[in-house]
Formats: sequence, structure tokens, C-alpha cells
Amino acid sequence: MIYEIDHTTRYVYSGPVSHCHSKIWLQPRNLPFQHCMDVMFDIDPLPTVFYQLSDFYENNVRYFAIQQSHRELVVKVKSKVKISARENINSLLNKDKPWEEVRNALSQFHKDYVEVYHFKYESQHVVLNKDLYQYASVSFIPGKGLLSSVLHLMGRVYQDFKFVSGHTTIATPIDVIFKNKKGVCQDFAHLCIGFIRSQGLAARYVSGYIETLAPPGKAKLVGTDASHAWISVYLPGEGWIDFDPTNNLVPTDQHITLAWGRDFADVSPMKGVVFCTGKQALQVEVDVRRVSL
Amino acid sequence: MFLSPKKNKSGHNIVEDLMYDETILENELKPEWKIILGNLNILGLNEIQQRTKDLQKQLLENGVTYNVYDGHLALQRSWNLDPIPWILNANEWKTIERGLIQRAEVLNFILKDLYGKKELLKSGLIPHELIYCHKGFLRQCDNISFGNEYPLALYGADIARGPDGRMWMVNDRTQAPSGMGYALENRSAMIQVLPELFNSQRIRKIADFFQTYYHSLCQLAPNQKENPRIAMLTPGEKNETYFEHAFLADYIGVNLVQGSDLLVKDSCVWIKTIHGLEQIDIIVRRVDDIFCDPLEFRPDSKLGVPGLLEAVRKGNVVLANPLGSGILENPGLIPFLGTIYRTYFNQDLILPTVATWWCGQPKELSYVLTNLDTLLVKKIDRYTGSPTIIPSLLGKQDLADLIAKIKHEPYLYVGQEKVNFSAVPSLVNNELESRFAVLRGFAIGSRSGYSIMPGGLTRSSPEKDRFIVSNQAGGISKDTWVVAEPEQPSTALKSFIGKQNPLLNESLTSRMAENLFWSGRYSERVLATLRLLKVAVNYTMENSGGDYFTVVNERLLCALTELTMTYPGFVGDGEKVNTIDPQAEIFDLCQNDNRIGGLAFNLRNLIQSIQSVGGFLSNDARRMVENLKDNCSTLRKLKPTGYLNLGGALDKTYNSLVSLLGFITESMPREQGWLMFQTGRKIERSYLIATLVNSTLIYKDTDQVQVQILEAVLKSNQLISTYRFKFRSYLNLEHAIDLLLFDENNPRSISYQLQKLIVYLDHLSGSQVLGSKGFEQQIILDSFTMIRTCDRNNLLDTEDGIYIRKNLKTVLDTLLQNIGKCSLALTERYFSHSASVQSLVYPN
Repeated sequence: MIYEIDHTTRYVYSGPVSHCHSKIWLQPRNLPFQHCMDVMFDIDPLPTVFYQLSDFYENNVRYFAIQQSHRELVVKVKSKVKISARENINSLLNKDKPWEEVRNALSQFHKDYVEVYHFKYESQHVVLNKDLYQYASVSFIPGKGLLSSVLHLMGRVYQDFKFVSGHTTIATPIDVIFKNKKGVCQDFAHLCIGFIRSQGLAARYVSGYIETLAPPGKAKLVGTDASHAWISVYLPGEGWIDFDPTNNLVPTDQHITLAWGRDFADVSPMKGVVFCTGKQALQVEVDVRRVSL
Repeated sequence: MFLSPKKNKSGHNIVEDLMYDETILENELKPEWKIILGNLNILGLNEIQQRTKDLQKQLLENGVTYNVYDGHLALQRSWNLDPIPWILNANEWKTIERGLIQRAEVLNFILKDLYGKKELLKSGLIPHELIYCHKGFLRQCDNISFGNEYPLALYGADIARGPDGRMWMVNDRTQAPSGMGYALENRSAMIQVLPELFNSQRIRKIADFFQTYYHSLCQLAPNQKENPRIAMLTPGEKNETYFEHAFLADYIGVNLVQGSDLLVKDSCVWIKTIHGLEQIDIIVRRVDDIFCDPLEFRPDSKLGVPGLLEAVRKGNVVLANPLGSGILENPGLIPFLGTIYRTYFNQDLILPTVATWWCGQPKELSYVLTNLDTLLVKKIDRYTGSPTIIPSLLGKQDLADLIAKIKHEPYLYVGQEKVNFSAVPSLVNNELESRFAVLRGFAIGSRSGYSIMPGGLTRSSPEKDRFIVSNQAGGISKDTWVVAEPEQPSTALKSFIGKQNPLLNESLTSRMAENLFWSGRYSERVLATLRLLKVAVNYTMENSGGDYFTVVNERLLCALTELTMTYPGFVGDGEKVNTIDPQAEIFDLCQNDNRIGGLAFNLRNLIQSIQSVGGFLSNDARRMVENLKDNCSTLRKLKPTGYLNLGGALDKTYNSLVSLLGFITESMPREQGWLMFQTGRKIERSYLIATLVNSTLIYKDTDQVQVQILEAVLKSNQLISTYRFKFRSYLNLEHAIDLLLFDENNPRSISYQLQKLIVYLDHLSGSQVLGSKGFEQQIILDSFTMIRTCDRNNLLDTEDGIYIRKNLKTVLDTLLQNIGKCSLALTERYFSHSASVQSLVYPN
């Protein structure tokens, strides 16, 4: 499956901006089941400094600096990604391990887990509390497999929480989202990461896209007109396995991975600082098209 | 002998059980203490009391302060220095020195490993929770090339002596350790005020260490650049140790900057100067790392420089200490340091650390939980502002909460043994008492390894049995003496202070330029207001009647309002009859520093801007600033009951400001800074003369009134004698206007100010070639020409039935407008006026 993605971010400022420094996490990663065939950046005004670097989690990052006065910034990223089949959840479920066993393994030191431990603890947007632990405990019952517990949890979250945009911002704390039972895909991801980490397990945040138009006969997915977010859970021996709580499904070939981190703060699609006294207005457009099978 | 080391006044042993007495070894007074106590006895108690006061005075005059926070208010606290130093002999010091070097080495090794290969994590020598859950582990800094072997360039450690007589490590400071500057000020004050104490033994010199500091910093320069430019980044005046930032920057000769003075462009760091951007190679960081770059860390930080980390990553600037070094301020590391040092350096750490149990391990956790009453509890990082907790002092509920928190995230806590620090004799309320003391030692990394300051900053507890020693809680500091061995240099009692590395060939920074400019402007504004106030008050007091009295009095009071722009004031709002109480209004102008434009307000701003250019001032000038501050506070505390005491207070304030300006004129080098200061003064003075003339002399008055007003105006410009000498006649308007506006040889005329301004602005812009003038130069030239060529014959004319001298007013109004435009143009051209920094928001 090959996808073409157009992602346009446009900032309009009410006053002149003399300088802009920015970092973007907008190039899809290469994975066993994903190959980024092409990526093109079109930034207006033209940056004076522009280069590629890799962050702590080996995501592809671009840094750029605009050193001329401007009132509007447009960042267009065009990418082409080939998605191949990944291991099916049913096959994975056959290799599932009791979640307590996973928890105990991760609570001991083992050099294989040095990179996994990062995703076990609280992070900026995932502050743990008793409520999260109690909610999650209903799904994590003794002896149950890790993957089936997460599937169970995801099903409940899909039932109990509503997808409502405009109700939360990225600054809305997780306990408020938990209480109000509504949010967008970032909120769903943060919530589920919180539930899973509260059990002593490792979960990470994945930023990416999903296909805009559903193939004939399939329903359109939620989260199509902007960047999307889902989660990944660590199963020793098998590695990281994705779950999309917003759509209550296990990603197969409609999800395109940009970057991952502990939460949104690590992989926000675009970060920036501008020298400007006025206000900023923002517009984001994302289009993901299937170009061949 | 009034100072007995063993007994206090009531005969009790002052040394507590289980506490080490610094002065005693094997029941004998240590020789170095014997000498000091002997020297103290020769001076005698009365003399020591007097000298203690002198010490305080000396420190105050040097402006040594420490800012403390009372709620949201930052208060300046003067620095307390105990006359009795903590003295350590050469052998004791050798152990401390070696111990500090080892500690710096192991922390430096950990820093490089954590942001590089991470062997310590992969091998489990450091448990991952200690790093991953510590907010000082900045993943953004991963794999940054530090560019040199000792990236931990500056290390501070708190050391104290335990009951067994051994020295113990208590705390590590690895971000921006403070205290070096205070240590130097302490030594300097001791040498000046208590030179006799140094008799009969040689004490190691600490000033040389600052030379080492500067040279080590230079070695950090990217690509081994020669003569690198160094800046010290401070959070600003409100920071608790701001005094030290300013002092150190000045002492070692580097630019003191705030985030907004710097700019990242082309992946390099630049400082804004009056001649444009100049590159910075090394930044000494006194800002916590997460505030240093809003692009990478806290987006809400206003203290940093956006893009700084990218400049570091590109190898174009080096920070001391590097971003990310906060991870080492981590008491959880303590139990693991010994093994790491043995593994990688093949040696044992010779200075023990206070016994510490990291709760991330089950055995240690249960030990801590069962022994809470005998332990201190600390969090592994200070980023959430968690101080040391003393569980034995907690109530039942708080203790239960603490236990629950520890159990919830045990890896975030350590338990630490309570150590009884050694007792050091201190002079408290004129008696010798023993106090807990902690020494902060300093290590500097250079290419050849670490060097240690032979001394440091000792702080002792404010109360007798108080365990916590901190400046924020009002501790007392001590000078720290290390006895010199024969080959080591000792403190010379004279020629101590000296700038090590003057800023050569570097342009004045925009911030300094702006502060100097405003120091100049506020000086003139304060002087003019003081003089007019005096004249107006005297006039009110001396005259109690006469037909003209009311008119003149009102005119002068209105002029006061117009000069200070404190409307409505005596001018009123035009319609209602003004019923203001003159005395209350005058006292308000003098005392209310929230009244914009008033004397008290201007004085406050003057002192602020002068203090921020402290580096340009001589010691005498700095002393005069303190004197001015004293006089201001006397003026502000005056009871507003009558004019009698007011005159005296105004005079004193006036005199101290004039002396201050005298000292500045005497000593400030005639360079860019001086030009900025003088430009500010000339602009303000011409503006004020024009304003005063505009509000007093443009009206057509009766002869009697005219003469009275002329006298007052000339007096308030100190021109009465000049007038009499020059014209030898009764006061008349034409002559007075000549003196105030046109006389190019009179330093109080507008022409004179403009003439000087033309010269200063030419020098500032560096271009004296015709045809390439900046706007600010052009507009002053135009004004000068206007004054020179105006039609003097008709200048004072009035039209029939109109009360105002229109021609004069037009000239003055144009002049005032031009001066305002010139000031704006200067701001535009020379000063930092960075637009505010904001972060881009991305939607969820």
C-alpha cells in the first residue's frame, strides 16, 4: 500500500516576526512495515538555516531558522510512504504473556530494557493518579494476557469516553480529561498510556496519520483531517505493539507512523519560537491519499 | 582572655555532645586556632565589636547583597559576615582538595557517559530510574559533543565535618554553583577591616583562583579560538545571587547579559551591542538549564535564548556548565559513586558522603521507612522545589502522607543520615558561641584537570541548634582560611582588588548603553526637580504677602508640575478651581515613589539604573550610591508636617548626587559608556531647561512679577551669579533668555547642550564625515541651527491682547519635539528592544 501525504501548517501573525526558530517532527519513520519513499519540505519564507537531526528516540527531526521579517509562515510537507503487512493481532495474541509477568520483568534491571524503561514512568502529559490505576485495574485482572488486557481496556475507553473536538487543548491535564470523559485522539492516547503505566507497564505515544478516505465498504475513521495519535505497548520478546484507542482498533495498513516518544511533548509535529509582539493564528491541513495497492 | 574556645560565659561547655569542636585536637587548641584567638584577644572585645560593624559597612558599601523572597516580593538582604574565620590547616586541606577533585572527576565522568555512550545505565552501575525519572535528565541534549574533556567546568560542593572529625560531602552543585564571588568579597572585607587577624600565619590567597577560572573558561572556546568572547548569562536583578553575577562578570572581565541581550542567528550566538551583533563563544550560565532555551525546554521561559541548544549542537558556542548538567544534582547517585570511581578510576573516594539510602531498592526502602525518625528525606531532583524534609518534625498526617508518597514512587526519594556538623566558634551578640558550619568548595575544570579554590564560602546556622544552613533562611557567612605551606602564595594584605581582564575591543552592549543613557537622564531630572523644589519651597517660606506673591508662587508650583509631568498637580484639569494642599502635594512628590515623574519615583529609577551599570563605577562612586540611597530613605521617612526639615533633606540628597556625578566624571574612561551617559544628561538637561522656560517665562507679566520669576528661574538653574557677573544689571527677560537659550559658553544653556550633543553623537556613531548623519544627529543639528538663526529681535513679542509670547513658545515647542524625536531615534539605533518571545502553539 502506498500513501501520499500532504501536511500544511500555516501561521498568520498580527505583527511582523523578525526571527523564527522551529523544529518539526514530520518525516515518517522507517519501520519493518513502513518505508518512507520520499519526503519534501517547502517552507515559506525560505529558512536561512535548515538541517536534519535525530532526536533521543531516533525520530527524524528538521530544525530551521527564518531570519527575515515575515507575517506568515507556511510549512508544507509532502511524503510518500509504503506500508506493508505487519503481524496480525490474532497471531500476536497466541504469543501473549500474563501482564503481571511483564510487569515483574520490567521491574528488574535487564540491559535489554534500558530503552524501554523510558516509557514506564510519569511524563509531562501523563501524570499518574489513583483514579487511573483503579479504572485500569478492571481490565488488568490476574493471569490475563497483556495484549488481551489492553484490548479490553481499549474497548471500555471507546465506550466510556466520547470523541469531542474543541473541548480540550493540549494543556488540559489528564485528570480533567478522565473526569469529563471526552477529548480528541491525543487525549485518548494520553489516557490509555496513563492507564497502562499505572499498572507498571511500558506504553509510548505514537504520532502519525490515518487514511483520509475510507476504502469502499469501510467506514471513515476518526482523526482524518489532522495529525493523529495512538499508543504502543511493550511485550517482551515481541516488541512494541500498536493500539488505536480513538478508533478502538489495532492498526494494520491505514496508519502511517511519524514519530514516537513518552507523550505529545516529545513529538509535537511542530515546535517553534518567534520574536513577535502580536497574536498568532494557526491552520493545519492534512490529506492522506492511497495511491496504489 | 575573653575568648575561650571551650567555655561560654555561663561556664558551660559550648561543645555539644557528639559534635566536633573545630578548635580542639586531642584536648589541645590547634596551633592555627591558637594564633587566631590570640590575635582576637590582642584586639579586645570592644575593638572586635567595632570592627564587626565596619565589616558590615564595608560589605554594604561594596553592594554585597543577597535577594530573599517574601511571598512574591524580592527583598535585598545585606550580607552577614562573622569576623571569626573558619581556619583549616594544610594537612586537613590536602584531604579536602583531593576529595573535591575526585568528586568532580566522577561527576564529570557520569555527565559525559549519560549524554554519550550510557555504559553506566547499560551495565546497571546506575539504576535507570535515577536518571529517567530525574527532571534534570534532558533528553534533548543527548549525544551533544561537549568539545572538551571536562565539560563539568565548574563544580561546587558543600562539605561539613562530622562528629568523628572527618570531612563529609553533603551536597553537589553542578548547574551554576554560586558563592565564589561572595567568598572573594568576604576575604577582601576581612583584609581591609581586620588585617591584624592575619598576623603570625600565612593564609592562602584566593584571588589567583579567579585568574585560573578565567583561563579555564577561555580554554572551552570552540575550535580553540584565541581571545574568545565570554558572556555570563543571568536571570536578572531579581535573582537571589544577582550581586554575585554582576560582581564576578566585572571581576573576571566578561559581559553580564540577560537572555534578551543575546540572539541566535546562523546557528551562532550573538550579543547586541551599539555597533551591531558581535559573536559570543562561551556562556557562563547562571540560569537553570530548563529555562535556557524556550524552543527546547520550557516554552514559557523568558530568561533564555531561543535556538541556543542548536548553536551548542553545531559546536559554535560552549556553555559552562553544559545544558543537562542538572542531572548530577541528584542525592540518589551518592550510594553509587564509590563503585563507579573504583571501576573507572581504580581508586577509592577519600571523602565520605553522608550515609544515603536510595529508596528505589527494596532493602533500602524498608530501612528508610523503619528509620524515618532518625533520617532526613530528600527528593532526587530539586526541579519541583522540594526542600529537605525532616520526618521527625512532621505531624501524624503529614508523616502518613510522606510515607504514602515514598511508597508510590520510591525511586524519587532518598533517606539520609542526620549528621551533627562541627562546631565553629562564631561571634554572636558579642559572645562567642558555637555554630554548625558548612563549607562550599569550588573546583574548576581545565585541560589539565581540576583545580580547587584554596578556601571557599563558609555558612553557619543562624540559630544555635538549628540544623539547616542556608542563605535563604538568613545564615551568616564566614571567611574560610587555609594555612599556606612555605611554597604557596599567601594573601597579600594590600593591592588586592584588580580587574583581571578588562573588556578590550568589545563594543558596549545595548543593555549597558541603555542603562547608562538613562542613568544620565535620571540624574539630570532629579537634580532639576530638586533645585526647583528648593526654590519653590523657599519662596513659599520667605514671602508671606505682597500683591505679586500669589501669582509668582502659583507660577512656580505649576512649573513644578509641568517639569515633573505629575498632572493634574498644581496645574489642575483646567475647569475646576484648584484646591490642592501645596504642602501635601510637595511631600507626595518627594516621598511617593509610585507617583510617575515625581522626585521619589525618579530617584528610585536613577538608583536602579546606576546600580545596573555598577561595573563602570569606581569604588568611591559606589560608596556615593550607598550614601545617596541613605539620603533618599531619610527623605522618604520625613514626617510631612512642615517645610523646615524638608529643605535639609533635599540638600543632602542633592549633595550626594552631585558628589556621585563628580566621582563618575573623575573616573569614567572617555569611551562609549561615557558618551552614552553624557548623551543622556545633555538630552535631559536641554529638555528640562526648555520645559522650565516654557512654563515660566513665556507669559507677559507685570515688571514686579517678572523680576521675581526671573530670579527664581535663574536660581533654579544656578545662574544668578553668572547673570550678575555678565550683565551687571537688574534682572531683565532679554538677558535671561540670552543666558538660558543662546549663550554657547554657558554650560546651563540650551545651545551649549546641543553643541555637546552634536559632538557626542558624532563620536558614538563613529562617523564624523558630513553627509552620513543618522536621524538623531540630523535633528540635533537642525535644532542647533534653529536656535542660532532665530529672529531674536521679535522673539519676546506679544500680540495685542494676547498674554503669551508666541514666537518664544514656537521655538521652545519645536525644540522639545525635536529632543523627543532624537531620544526615540537613539533608542531605535542603539538599544536592545527585542520583540517579546512567544512559542508557536500546535493544536491537539
